Amino acid sequence: MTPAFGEALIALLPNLRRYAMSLSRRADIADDLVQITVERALTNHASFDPSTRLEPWLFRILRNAFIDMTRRNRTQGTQLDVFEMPEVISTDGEAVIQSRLMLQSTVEAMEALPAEQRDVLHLVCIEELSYAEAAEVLDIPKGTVMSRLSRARLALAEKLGIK
Amino acid sequence: MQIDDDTLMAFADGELEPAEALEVKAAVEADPALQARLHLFTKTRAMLQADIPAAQPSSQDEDLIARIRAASVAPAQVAGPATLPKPANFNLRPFATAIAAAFALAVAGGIWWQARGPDQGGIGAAQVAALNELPSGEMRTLGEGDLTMIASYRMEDGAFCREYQTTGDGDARVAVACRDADGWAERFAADLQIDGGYQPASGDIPGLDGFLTSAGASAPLTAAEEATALSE
Repeated sequence: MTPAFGEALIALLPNLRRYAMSLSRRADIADDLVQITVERALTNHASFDPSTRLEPWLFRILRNAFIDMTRRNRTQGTQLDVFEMPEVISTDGEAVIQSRLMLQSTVEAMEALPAEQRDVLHLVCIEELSYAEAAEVLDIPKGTVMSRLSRARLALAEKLGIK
Repeated sequence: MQIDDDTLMAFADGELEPAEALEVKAAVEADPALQARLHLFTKTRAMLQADIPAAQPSSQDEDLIARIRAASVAPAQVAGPATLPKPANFNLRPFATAIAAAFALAVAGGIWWQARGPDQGGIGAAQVAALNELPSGEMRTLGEGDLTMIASYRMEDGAFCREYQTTGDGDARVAVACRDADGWAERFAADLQIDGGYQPASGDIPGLDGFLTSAGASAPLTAAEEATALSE
């Protein structure tokens, strides 16, 4: 492992924590996720392709750690209220509820989106990943990234009253 | 030209191939409805960029940074594939095994335990400065070599001690120095030789664990405890 890899990893710790917060919505879980991500990145640094950017590689590790954690919690029968997985929640139901709320800030509007839309929005519009990089992180085709992202942005525009 | 939302968004995000981008640009310029639709995509991205709080460093990062730096110390000297250290038998020092493994150390002899003396003889000014301020897990270049701070301890007698490694010119040396009213005094040192062809099975440094045990060393201080001790 080169010092440059280590320093690049250190520089991205705040971004990892922010993404972990976006996924888990809990600071203690976000801390755990960042820690797990760092350990896995140090162990598997040889599998990182230096011709690509480090961000997507790290976000993917973090997201997989989150999914592992969610899965484990589910099999343990732990309550899942904070882990809204996209498959679990009907986006239609949320949309109906959210349309009644007056959302004032961008942050609140984003929080109110279904988890899968929030996730892709975070990666592309906040972390500035390309569509291809986001597809890599989310393990879905690029076309799916695009359709999910455009729906998320139209929903956000509606909540924010952008015309 | 029929342009769907995904294509329009990709245009807004600069994700289209140049040829397609030109076509979309022409279509948008000719169609106010498309312009309004495009605005939804550019505006949402701009608002997210502006309104979502910036990624902030956290106090939780400190230990992670030390952990990462310790794992990336001096990789140039690694002979074989770099592997993460397994905990040593004597699992007091979180950074020492990482560093030892990375250096492929072989002991050349010259281990001695030094009676505690009041002078700082043998410890140069630059090293004293590092002992006074360098956090564990970090490395500093001193003259012709590097000094890597490995860990800090409290000894049974209350002394604040720091384990560190110095390298230069193919040699490496690990030492433990303790602080008293007169400054820093070396209480343990072992000369090590960097040997690219031979890597000991364990990263242990002979004699060091024995010294730490006999001196009643605490577990390595946490980053916060260390910072407090350094500021005393």
